[in-house]
Amino acid sequence: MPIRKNLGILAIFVLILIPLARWLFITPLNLRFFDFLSTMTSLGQITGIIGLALFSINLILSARFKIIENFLYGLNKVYNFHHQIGGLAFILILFHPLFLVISYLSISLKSAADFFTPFNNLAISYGILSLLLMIVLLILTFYVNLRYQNWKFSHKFLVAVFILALLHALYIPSDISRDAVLRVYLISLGFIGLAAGFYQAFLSPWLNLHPIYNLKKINPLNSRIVELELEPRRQKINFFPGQFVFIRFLSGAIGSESHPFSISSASATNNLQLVIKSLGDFTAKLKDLSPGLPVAVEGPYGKFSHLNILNKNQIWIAGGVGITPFLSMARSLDNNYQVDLYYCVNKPEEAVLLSELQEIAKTKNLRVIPWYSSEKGYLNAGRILELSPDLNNRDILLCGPTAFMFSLKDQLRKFKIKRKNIHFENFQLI
Amino acid sequence: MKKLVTISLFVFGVIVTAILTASLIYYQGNKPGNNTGSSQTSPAVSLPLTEITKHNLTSDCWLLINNKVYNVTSYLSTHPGGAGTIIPSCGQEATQAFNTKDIGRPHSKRATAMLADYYIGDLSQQTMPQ
Repeated sequence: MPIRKNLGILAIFVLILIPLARWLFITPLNLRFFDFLSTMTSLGQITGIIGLALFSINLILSARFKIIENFLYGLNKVYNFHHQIGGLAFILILFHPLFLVISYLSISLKSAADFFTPFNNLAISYGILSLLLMIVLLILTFYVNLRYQNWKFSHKFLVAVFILALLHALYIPSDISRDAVLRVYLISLGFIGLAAGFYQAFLSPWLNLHPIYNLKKINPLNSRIVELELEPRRQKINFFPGQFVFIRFLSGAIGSESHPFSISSASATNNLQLVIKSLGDFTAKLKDLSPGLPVAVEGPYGKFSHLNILNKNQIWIAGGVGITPFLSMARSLDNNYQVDLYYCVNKPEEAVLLSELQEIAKTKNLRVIPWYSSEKGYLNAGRILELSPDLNNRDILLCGPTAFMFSLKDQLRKFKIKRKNIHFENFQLI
Repeated sequence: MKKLVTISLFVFGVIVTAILTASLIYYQGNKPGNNTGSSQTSPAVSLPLTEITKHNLTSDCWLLINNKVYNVTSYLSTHPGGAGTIIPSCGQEATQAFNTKDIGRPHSKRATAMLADYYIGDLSQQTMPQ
């Protein structure tokens, strides 16, 4: 993979390595890893320091800053990182007290038990409370299938977990309290994280920084898919076809959390259209909305666009409602592009807006190939090669359910299609 | 990632539960004799300051706290605040350091109780600190 796309990982590594390197230099290494017990204590300190640094980084990632999206090449990648780093930080923070307790165990069972009991010592109590709350919130994230807005609400409390963790790190007598460099670094990183987390969780919805649109039309395309049309009040957002936005209804009984949806309208049009499939209860309620509601539109985000690919000879493969970004691309398509669009659904009545795509195909270099799996079985790389024989000279864009994209990607790789010629955004926020 | 998180949560749960349960059982079983093992009451050895100052190494570290001498060599590596916080005080008067830690607050009662385990004698009264 090109270095450019890995810069983000590199930056995260550097941010973690700085405190680790400083920690290694404060005390001679032979004292850090003198015997079994000192090694365990040192591991306890390392897991604590890295866990805190990763936690700070994760709050920064959660804030959907445009600059970080560009740096990590797509908001979906930012969220993938957020998920992985969050998991890793959680594991390290779980092991942090386990490593430290070993020294106490060597003294007595009672001192080890005291170590896990809150209210003996303020600094340790901050740590215990922080960890307990973190365990509860991350069990909700990893194991409980909450409604999106309930999960999102619960996840905001991780800011409180972080405040407790930061207090714990500052007040516990350790290398952090003893060494000015380590302390200043971790406090700075922590405060940037805290500010970012606080901004994203609480401040951003209040400030109303995002352009306001009015809900103009609700157009049910079939029993489960609806197209929303939004009209800008004043300012409109500028986007590439293929990007997505977060929308948040500012009044009404639909809840005020923001939700991500792909844009289906052409980038040149004034109004914004979103094609939405009813999956959760938020999307189910959309059909019952009345026009005129104010909607805050945040974005655009994402790098998934035919315009971001140099090769203009392309194959687009949509699975179900994954057609949405391709609709936007088709509606914005110019004649320099040569595109085969595979539109995969189960039955013909699920292929929403097919007639419009076929209409566009008459005037552009676009070939629309509807694929009904109930009639022809699932689309596979072999069938694509039959219908688009110059497959190897083309770039392939995939959008649809995760399993659909990964299955096709793996098949295409077996047909010697290079990884860099297959494009998709795996967009799962939870 | 989910698998790793699950394993870690399981390990964490098992260890914490085991320690808390074991200590509860052990503690209840030993309730009557709980206050017998205080080494603070063992007969004191008088140690002159000149002797104490010799033990100023990481491999041999004595501390003088409230006129009592503690051999904390074996504890150095397990100190939650790191060995580095204690090492500068080895072989020296450390009452101030012990009472203020590094951020001006005293050690917990638990830490004070743990210190008793390392008690080896008293500062001999004939030799007053210079």
